[in-house]
Amino acid sequence: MAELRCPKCGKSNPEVLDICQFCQTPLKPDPVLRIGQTPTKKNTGELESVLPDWLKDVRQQARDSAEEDAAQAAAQPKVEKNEPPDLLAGLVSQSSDAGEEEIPDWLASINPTASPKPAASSMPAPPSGSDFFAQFNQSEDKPASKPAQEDVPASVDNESDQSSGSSENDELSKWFSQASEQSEEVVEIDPEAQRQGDAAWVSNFDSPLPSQQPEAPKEEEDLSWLHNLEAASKQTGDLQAPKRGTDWMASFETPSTPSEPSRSQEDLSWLDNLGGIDESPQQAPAQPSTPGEDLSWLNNLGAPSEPQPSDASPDKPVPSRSFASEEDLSWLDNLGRTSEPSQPIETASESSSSSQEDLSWLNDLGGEPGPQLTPPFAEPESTESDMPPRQTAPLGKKEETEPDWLKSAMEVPSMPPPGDVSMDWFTNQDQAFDHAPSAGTSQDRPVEEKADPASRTPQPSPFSDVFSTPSEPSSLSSQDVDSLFSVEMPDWLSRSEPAADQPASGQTTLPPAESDESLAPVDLPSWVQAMRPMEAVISETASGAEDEPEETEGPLAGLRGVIPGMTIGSSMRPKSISLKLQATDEQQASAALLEKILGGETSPRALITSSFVASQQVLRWTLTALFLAVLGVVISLRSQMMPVSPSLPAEGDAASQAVVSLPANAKVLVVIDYEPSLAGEMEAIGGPLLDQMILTSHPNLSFVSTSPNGAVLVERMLSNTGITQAGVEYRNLGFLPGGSAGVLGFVERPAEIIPASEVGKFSDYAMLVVMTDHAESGRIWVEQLHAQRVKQVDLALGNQPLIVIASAQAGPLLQPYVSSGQITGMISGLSQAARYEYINGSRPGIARSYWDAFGVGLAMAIVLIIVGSLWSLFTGIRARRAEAEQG
Amino acid sequence: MRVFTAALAIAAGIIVLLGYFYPDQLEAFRLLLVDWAIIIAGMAVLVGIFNLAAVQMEKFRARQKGGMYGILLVLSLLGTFAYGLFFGPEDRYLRLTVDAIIVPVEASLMAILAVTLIYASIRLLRRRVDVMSVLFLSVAVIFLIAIMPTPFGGITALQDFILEIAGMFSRGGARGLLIGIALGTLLTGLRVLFGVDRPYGGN
Repeated sequence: MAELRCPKCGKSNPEVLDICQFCQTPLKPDPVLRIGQTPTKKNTGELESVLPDWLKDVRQQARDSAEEDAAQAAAQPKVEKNEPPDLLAGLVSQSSDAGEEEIPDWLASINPTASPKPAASSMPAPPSGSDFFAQFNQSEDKPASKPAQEDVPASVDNESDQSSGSSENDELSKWFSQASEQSEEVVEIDPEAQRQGDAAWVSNFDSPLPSQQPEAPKEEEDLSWLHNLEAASKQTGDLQAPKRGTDWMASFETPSTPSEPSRSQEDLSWLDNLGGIDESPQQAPAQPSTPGEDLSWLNNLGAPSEPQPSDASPDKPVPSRSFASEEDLSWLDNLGRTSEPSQPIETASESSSSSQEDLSWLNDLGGEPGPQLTPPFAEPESTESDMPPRQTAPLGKKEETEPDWLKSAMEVPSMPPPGDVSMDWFTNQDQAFDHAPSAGTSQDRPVEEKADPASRTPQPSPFSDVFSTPSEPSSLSSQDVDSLFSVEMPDWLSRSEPAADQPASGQTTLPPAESDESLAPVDLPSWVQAMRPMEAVISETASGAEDEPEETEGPLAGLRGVIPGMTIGSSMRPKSISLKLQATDEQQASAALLEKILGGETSPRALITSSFVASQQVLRWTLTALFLAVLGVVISLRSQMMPVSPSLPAEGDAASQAVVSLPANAKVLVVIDYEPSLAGEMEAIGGPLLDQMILTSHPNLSFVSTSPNGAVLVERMLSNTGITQAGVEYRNLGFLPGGSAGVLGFVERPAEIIPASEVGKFSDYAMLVVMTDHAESGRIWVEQLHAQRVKQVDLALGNQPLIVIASAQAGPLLQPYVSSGQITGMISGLSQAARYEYINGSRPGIARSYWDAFGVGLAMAIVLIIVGSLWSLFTGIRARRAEAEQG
Repeated sequence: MRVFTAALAIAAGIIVLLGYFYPDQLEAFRLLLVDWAIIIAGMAVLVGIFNLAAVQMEKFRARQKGGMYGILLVLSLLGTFAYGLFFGPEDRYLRLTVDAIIVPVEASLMAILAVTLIYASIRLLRRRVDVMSVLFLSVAVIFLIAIMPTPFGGITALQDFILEIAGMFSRGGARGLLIGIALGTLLTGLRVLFGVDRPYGGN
């Protein structure tokens, strides 16, 4: 079992315990943080075990990817800079990268005068490429110790990354011019810088020849290609024609001097690899190369004997003849594949039609506006007289060995881009084929001509002259470069993007689909359609674009539908939105209703009473008044016109017989169980019987009551009936509680329950008279008494008569007991009482006084009930008939 | 506690019941329990009177509507109780109180009841016209006629006939009611003995 160590005493405790068994210190820290306590820092790593599995996996993957990234970053040599930390290093690096793309260091280093300019125009570039050319300018004697192939890919890589720049083109032209003039210049190479540059170049270049080391002592062979370049340039005179080379290009011309072999060789080892290329350098400027050929110019680079034309056009790929061994140019293929078909830097001034043709395919791919004057990979016919256009890429001779993939990519689309609806494309296309050699005439066009979509000119690569042969047409070399770095674009991409990239081309007409029957509209995939810019969609669906006015000035001159034609004050101006709440009539009505309901909640509502309630009150008052009046008169008159029947019912007669048979001075228990409300009736009913009993037996009366009012009612009754006046002894035993239990107890043990009864047992009473106005009380006495009789505990109870004096409402319910013999006799109601009183000699006479009023009242009640019922029946039928007619 | 009360009530009931069947063994215990029940019932009346007074006093203290009547009731109660305790129910003034206040008030309520019953009888056919309502009214009228005294002396034969015929139905109905009451009483007792019903607050 794991143990926990006490933080206080340090003793071991079992894990199951929470408190130390020695010092009573909590073993586990209280996780709850209370007021006043300082929070303890927790290691969140401890919580990793409680993380869910899926989260752990994600975290592990993140760690692995981070490690991989770190390893990759570590594998790449970093360019050490002794600069202080700069927060804008990212921007700096970006701009520096751009600068590097535009003017590689190795190229800038060729010409000492030109190297600062690239550094100034662009951000400080890594000294990878500039040092190479710098060495040619500085010292020709220093052999290139660095591997040539490492520099070349770097330069190529940088070249591929170059963006359009007019300054670089100028420098290139200058370089070539300088190269032709300064053939004796020595390229001084800074070994240290070169070494660093090569190291960076090596790290950036992912070539199939990674094992090349800068220690290759191929000094003489490294610079041979430069000689070739110079010779080629001199022969073709390319150095003279394109004048818009950048400065760095000017510096680039320097290495083409015959003094190249004297240059530093240690950094040019990479050139040896260039010499190993099988293909001969392409005669791109001179010969119209096929678009698919890409590596033939490299063969020329490997030939050391050929003099470098000093006037080689920067656009022309100067063949390098230092490469004796014809090695596989697959690295260039890879280079061409990996790198984007970036536009080589060319000055707009030097752009020719061929240059435009070379990069036109790139324009098409990148959505460059403007129909191409020439097909992207059209082979311009360069003439001797004309300055060959600058080549975008000095790589390859495309006429002969162009691979198929490059051919397909460089094929001129039969149809213009979908966005290009202008018919100028077709005309320009024809012109392109016809006037491709004369692209040199357009070399001087300024860059601003790019606004003209028909005359859009691609910018040739600044490095095209380095790697192109003098005989190669410059346009073709640029095409080669483009083709090398081009990626086989799918048809859908080449077709769809121009539609979005040429909004300014004035797309007012639909694509001339009818002109090309082979091109059928292709259903773009859904995800491509989603990628399509809205401008393309609008342009396709805007059939009314023709109605749009054409811009006449500004950069959008000649374009239609670019800016929505919405004149000032037009009706299409968006309507002013009212700040007020816009509610419909229905909503307003609902709101008013709701407000009314809410207001009614607080206000009291008057209770509406119908006339029905008023009519009821009138009828009641009428009845009351009628009865009071009639009966009052009858009572006040003390009339006795209603005769009384002398016959008694059977139960009455039995009661009378029982009373008469009482022995003298017998004890009689009289139970008073009626309420004061019926005291008048009960006194009228019981008076005659009690009077007869007193007159005949002179009994000892004991009065008991099961209600609290009984005791008082006894006195009232004795007073009203005149019993007290007769001098009869009586006992008022008071209240007998407990209901049936009390009755049972009194019946079983009267002396114990009520000591004032003065009887030993209940059978000592000769008669039991129960005066009740409700059947419950009579029933209880009957049942309890009968139970004692059944038990035969006291046989005398069997002979004890039970007389019940009941009101008219209780008599019917006690009649069964009379019928069963459990009750000896019963007098119920005023009618029987009147008869009994009549037999008794009209004593006390209460019943007789009530008899006439009783009769009149009953008669009135009967009449009112009959008449009223009939009237109610009639009115009810009439009302229901009226409701039926209405409904 | 609930189980204890239930057990006590059930035991008491069973003893009283068995005491009827075994009087020699359980009659004394039965009588003792009966005496206790009588005493508790008597005290319950006093408790009820005290509760009545407390409620009316609270109504007066809280100044609720009818609070003055409450204090009047309590004063009357205390005065009557004390006077009757000292002077007995036979005292003349106490009888005057009964004769002048208690009986007339309750008798007047009974009179209002009579008028209300007549009014209800009159409007019965307006609200509900069916066989039972008509039959009810007819029988009521017949019985009233049967017992009504007339200046012409009673119609003895008719009255006897009516009372005999009508009495037969009434007596039958009365017996039915009494049997139902007896059965209900028996069932209620058994439920209490079995602990199903706990009117003493066990539920």
